[in-house]
Amino acid sequence: MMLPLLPEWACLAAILVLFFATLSDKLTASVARNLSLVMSVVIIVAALMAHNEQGMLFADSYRVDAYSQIFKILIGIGLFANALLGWPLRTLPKAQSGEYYLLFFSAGLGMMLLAGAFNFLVLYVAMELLSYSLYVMVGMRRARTESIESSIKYIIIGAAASAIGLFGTSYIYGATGSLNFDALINGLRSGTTSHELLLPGLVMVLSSFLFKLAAFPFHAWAPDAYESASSPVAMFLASVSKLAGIAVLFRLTFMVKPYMPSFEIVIGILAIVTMTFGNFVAFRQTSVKRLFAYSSIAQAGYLMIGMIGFGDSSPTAVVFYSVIYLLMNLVVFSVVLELERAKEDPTLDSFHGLYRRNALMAMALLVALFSLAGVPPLAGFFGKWLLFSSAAQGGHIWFVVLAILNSVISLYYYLFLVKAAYFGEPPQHVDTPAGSISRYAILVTTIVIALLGIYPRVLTEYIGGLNLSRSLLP
Amino acid sequence: MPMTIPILSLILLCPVVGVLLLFLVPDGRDKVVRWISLGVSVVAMILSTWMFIAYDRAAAGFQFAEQYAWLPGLNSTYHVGVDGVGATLVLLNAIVMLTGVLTSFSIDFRVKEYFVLFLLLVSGVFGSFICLDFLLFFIFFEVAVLPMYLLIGIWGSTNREYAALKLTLMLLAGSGLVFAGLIMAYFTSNVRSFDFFVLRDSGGFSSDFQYIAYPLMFLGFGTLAAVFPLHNWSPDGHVAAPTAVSMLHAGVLMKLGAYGVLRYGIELFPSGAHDWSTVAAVMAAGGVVYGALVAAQQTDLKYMIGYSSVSHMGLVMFGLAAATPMAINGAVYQMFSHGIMTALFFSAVGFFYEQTHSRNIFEYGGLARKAPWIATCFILAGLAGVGLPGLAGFPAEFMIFLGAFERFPVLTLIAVPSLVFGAFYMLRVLQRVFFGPEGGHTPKVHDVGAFSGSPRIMLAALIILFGVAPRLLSDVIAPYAREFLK
Repeated sequence: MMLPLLPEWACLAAILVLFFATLSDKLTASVARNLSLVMSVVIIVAALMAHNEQGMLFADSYRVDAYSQIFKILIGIGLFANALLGWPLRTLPKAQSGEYYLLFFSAGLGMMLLAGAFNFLVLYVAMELLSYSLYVMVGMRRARTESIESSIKYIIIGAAASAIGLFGTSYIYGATGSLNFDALINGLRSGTTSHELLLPGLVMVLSSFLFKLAAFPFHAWAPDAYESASSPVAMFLASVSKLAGIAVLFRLTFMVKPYMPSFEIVIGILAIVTMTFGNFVAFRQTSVKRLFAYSSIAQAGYLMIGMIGFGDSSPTAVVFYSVIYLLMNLVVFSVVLELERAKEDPTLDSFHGLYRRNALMAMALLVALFSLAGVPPLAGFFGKWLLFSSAAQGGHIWFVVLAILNSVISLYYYLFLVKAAYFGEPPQHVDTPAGSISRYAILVTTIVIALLGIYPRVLTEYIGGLNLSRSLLP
Repeated sequence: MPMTIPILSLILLCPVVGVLLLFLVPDGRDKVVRWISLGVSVVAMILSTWMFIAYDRAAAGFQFAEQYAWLPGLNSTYHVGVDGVGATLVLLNAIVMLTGVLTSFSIDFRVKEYFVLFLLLVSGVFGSFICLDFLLFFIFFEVAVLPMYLLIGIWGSTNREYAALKLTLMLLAGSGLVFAGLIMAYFTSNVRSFDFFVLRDSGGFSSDFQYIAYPLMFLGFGTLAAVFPLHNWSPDGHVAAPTAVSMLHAGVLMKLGAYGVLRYGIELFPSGAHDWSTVAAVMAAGGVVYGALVAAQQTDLKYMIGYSSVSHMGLVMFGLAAATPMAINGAVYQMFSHGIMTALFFSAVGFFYEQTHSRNIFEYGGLARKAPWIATCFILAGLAGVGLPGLAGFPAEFMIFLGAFERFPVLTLIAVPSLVFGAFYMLRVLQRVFFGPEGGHTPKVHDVGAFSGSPRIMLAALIILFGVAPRLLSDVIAPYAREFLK
């Protein structure tokens, strides 16, 4: 019991460490951050040690397999990167930095539990653990009333999504007589479960995932939350917190889709609507954080297209894209944090002349944006290739064509940012460049994005070697 | 032919190594940056010339092939090789790269970044011309297109941000079509491979599929080749771009579009190409006529050249649409000769512009007396453009019309007069700018020196060389065109 759950234990330990640290009045923001960095490294090590574990725990309601473990490693890396790059906590109250990192890890624990959840109640509990941590994090920027407002909006949409999800769970229970995922699959496989009850149930459960992914129609919280929350929180929301939603949505989709083609179509349509909506609304944004919120809504759509892919290729595609999605958003939000030095809540104008003020940031931004748009030879292109080709192989060629069109559209607003950063005149105010550690971190991340596009084999072969499609099926 | 030296990879490596070296140069050492760029261009030029000479004309077909594993899971390999078309275009790219770098010596704003992007663009073009793997080709293709955005936006002139955005969006929309076709072709083929030969020989594409796939390729690549009516990024882009970037863009990048249509459109989906050939020919002939008519209205020299490029690329596409051996031969010849000619045009206009900051034909006059060398170069390019026998444009246009007449007699008869009209406007411009009374800006112009003249004179010499001795080129292209119909 100890070893398979090592990453979860490590996360729990991190929460306790931060909890006791907050009891001291001497805890400063930088000490709290250093503690978090250390604890995230511990989590990564724990996740790596446990990466070969597998088993069914707690009366088959929790599953440890290659798929959950790779997401736990990713979540660990995401936590570490957020602690490293999501700094300084300029807009958070000084006295609360300890609490911030406490919530940071409780959200992390929720994500890990989501990656392993194999029962609808476990799923619900994990989802709420993650969501509640995030609600508070979003509302922490108390100097701004919008922060509270968006937090409340977030809670209300979250509560609605949870309620619908729970209602759907009751349908599934009614259809299968169990809350475990394997009962659902066995029922589908043997053909004894009625689809009339199951399909609406699943679609309703889907709503809680869509909420986590900020996918249509549960996306409305994202732009407000990103904009009014403190930027490190926005980075957290956009990068690592989405991984958990992806992990669990894909697990369920992958198990269900061979038996329910209609469920596949539902996901495909939602994916297209999500990305189209995200891309078109992103056009009109002037606030940078809102723009990236919509861009990440669109990105969730691309990921969902990969989820309806064919056989073995789709797990590889989804995991590969999750990795680079994490990297790209980390870079983009690091740049936003950098711009915040000059101005709170940066707008498009803040990008003007970034190239002359800070060439490294401008280059990192360029690479990350082109990669988000899926331009070769960057990692984003290869990621999209895997997602789209997997869906094409699954016979969804029209979804793929629409997704490609969307990628071209998205380039338009990404280019707007590039244009501002490279062609614009810098404002009078000249700001100091980023601290050296985050500079190196950003440089390394950017290089990884470029190299993974040229030599994706390193990662795809590793992911392919994990045999995820076998581990995903009970 | 046993070939132990991986010459194509070496050619590709020249600009790539250049980019890496430039990253190591400390800021502010502009001279070092320029000379490194020149060094790699000279090496690339020597290697490409050697490759062109060593290309076995009797054996024809694909030569200098190399193949290494890249993405075995997808059956995508690093597979390079050139046939008659590839060899010609690699040589063209090397020429434009070298002359472009020489022309760019006058750039003095952010020199390092400029040359990094320039060489990156050139690497993309080399890669696309030598690659025989569809996926890798597509990647190189994008590498060739994207640096344009920054090159125009940062170093450009008139209306540069608008032009850069328009160009990039249109070209990437085109890439989107190609990408869709790429995925469709990969999953429809019997073989699940990206290798050009495998797809072509055993792809087993049904004619129904080709009927859908070919338009994706034609429109996708055709956008880059500025096929009418998808051309309208091109004149704006050429005008806004800095001199050497216009040279590369009109000289080589547009050819890359035509090359894409030829190799991954017509060769991969022959029956689709045949079904759509009338539509393609109408669009191409439309471009020929439209480009010539609009060019005649221009007072800005760069706009004039930009529109005449649309017209000349229309001729290339017309030849490809006709797809008779003679027309293909002419089309490829035209790609080469138009590449050199238009590079010379832009290079010469850039030379005036740097000195006077004007490109308006009414502000010049009598330049021939003031700057005889550059005037000679410009006039040579102009005369080649109107197809004067003895210069490189003539054999190309002659072969295209001769070849296309069999298939599209009416369209040919419409397109030919536009060339006569083209001759008229070109002569009018030459007369106004170089002869007659001196214009307002003329006194400010000095003739080229030995160094700044070198790229222009080199290009002018090539125009004469390939006009007088067309066999230098057609020996390489003709076997390809003969094989083509099989």
